[in-house]
Amino acid sequence: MPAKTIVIDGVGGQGVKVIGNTMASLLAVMGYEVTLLYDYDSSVRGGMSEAFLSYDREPISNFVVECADVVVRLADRGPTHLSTDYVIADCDLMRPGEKGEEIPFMQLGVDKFGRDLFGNMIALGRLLCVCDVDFTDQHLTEALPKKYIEENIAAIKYGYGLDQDSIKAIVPEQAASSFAERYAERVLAGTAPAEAVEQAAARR
Amino acid sequence: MTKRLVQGNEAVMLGAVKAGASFFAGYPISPSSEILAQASVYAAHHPEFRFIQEEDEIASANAILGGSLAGAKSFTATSGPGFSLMQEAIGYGHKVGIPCVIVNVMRVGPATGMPTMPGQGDLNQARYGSTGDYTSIVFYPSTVAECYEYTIHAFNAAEESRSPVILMSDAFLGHLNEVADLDTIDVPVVPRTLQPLASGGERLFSGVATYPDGEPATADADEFIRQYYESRDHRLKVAERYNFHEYGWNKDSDTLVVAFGITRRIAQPLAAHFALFRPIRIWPTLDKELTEIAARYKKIIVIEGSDGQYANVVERMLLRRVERVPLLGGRMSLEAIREGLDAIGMLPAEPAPAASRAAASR
Repeated sequence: MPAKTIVIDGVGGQGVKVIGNTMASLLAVMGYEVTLLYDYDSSVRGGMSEAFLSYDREPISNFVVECADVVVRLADRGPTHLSTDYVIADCDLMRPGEKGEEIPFMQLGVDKFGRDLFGNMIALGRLLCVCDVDFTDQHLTEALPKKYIEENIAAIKYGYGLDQDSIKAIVPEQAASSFAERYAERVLAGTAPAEAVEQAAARR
Repeated sequence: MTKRLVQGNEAVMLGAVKAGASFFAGYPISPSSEILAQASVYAAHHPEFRFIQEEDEIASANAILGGSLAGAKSFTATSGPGFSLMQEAIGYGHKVGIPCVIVNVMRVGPATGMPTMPGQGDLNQARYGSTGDYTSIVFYPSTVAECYEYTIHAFNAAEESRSPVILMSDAFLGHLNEVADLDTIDVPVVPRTLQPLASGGERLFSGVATYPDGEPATADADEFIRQYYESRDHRLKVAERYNFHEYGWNKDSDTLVVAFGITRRIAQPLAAHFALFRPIRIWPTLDKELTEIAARYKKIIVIEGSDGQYANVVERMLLRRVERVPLLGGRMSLEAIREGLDAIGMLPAEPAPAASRAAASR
């Protein structure tokens, strides 16, 4: 089986590193060979931020992902040369013709766990589910930082437990918000992520 | 066995500690800053390890020369314009004979360039960056585990050659997190034998050409030539013990790809179509090894993150035409390599056999 390849696409400050680090650590704890590379722009706060993650049971040579099995899209700043089989996106970030799903991760983080930061863990949970990664609580405990560990595990499990029916219930097709786009605009303008969530949600 | 995720820059720091480094001086610059950050944290918990953040890279390079003369295995890490600022100190280190290690995590230059994007455009600077003739020993690993391993070798070569040794890396390799078991890497450490300052005896530390007794030899060509060849021959002899390289992929191909550092890894999916020569010791060039291997192939392609710096070296060495695939602007990808091969009419047309494809994905 070729390596599983994932790209996490966002802007600086959005949680790309949190999701990438946590998933890579979890997979490493589970005994996988893992490569995780961050590619980011140095020019301004809120510039593009990408994580290229590959995992396999064999050592991985080419760690630059150009054809991803799954893309997690928190903002649409990603590599122009990237192709993908499946997209997990925050709302309004799917492109025409793409196969995937839209879930308002940051807003769910606020609604379900009180902070936008947990939206990253919800996205991670959904990613683990889509990739069919069969982890245990012990794996999570070893991989996650000790701070907020219970909340993070709960958020990951919440994301992992989402199915198509529950996603549809959260995001009715006719009512897809532009939350993520507004959130990315706020972050790009220099607003702190927590405030950006509030401002983006307020305009809904 | 303790397999875990390790970052390339972290592996360099761990390798330095393993090699016995006890002094780091540096100035933060992307994409090398994690080495400085980790050195500061390590120093906070290990009082025998000294750390200083200097005001710039000139001070940093000179500080490690001083630290080494005082008896500490010393190193610094930098990138891009920081490496440029260190060149005068590097030349002084070569002239005086000071063992130390300079880590250059390459980005796209010249000048500030593209600070977070990977490049391989400092190869010539690593060899010829300072004034005059001198003999640089330069290594360039391509995995996180190798970052650890060749950092130790770099310190060893510095001690043996009594010269600044350069460890090349790049923005991708420095920031790459990879599962590695560093405990399984066993490189014997060369101990410090150079007596520190103030330990008795007399020793000259002059950048000026001098006789052994300290008198200026600034107009004595014979003395200069004697000293130059003595140091050059010693360093070349030491370098011979570090002739690290990789020869593999499809050795039955009629075309040899020369790639190093991250380009070797990104090009891996082409393994079924080409033979590979990867120099790990970039300088002094591996003339004997590459000349012998290249003679078996009709065509040679150099894939690198510069506009032909190493291709020119190979062409001069082999005295034959070499094809070039330059990866510029930080665009280090298989697609960019394929486009480059297509541009020179050397993109493999047929898909590789299934078994070879599986191996190539590794």
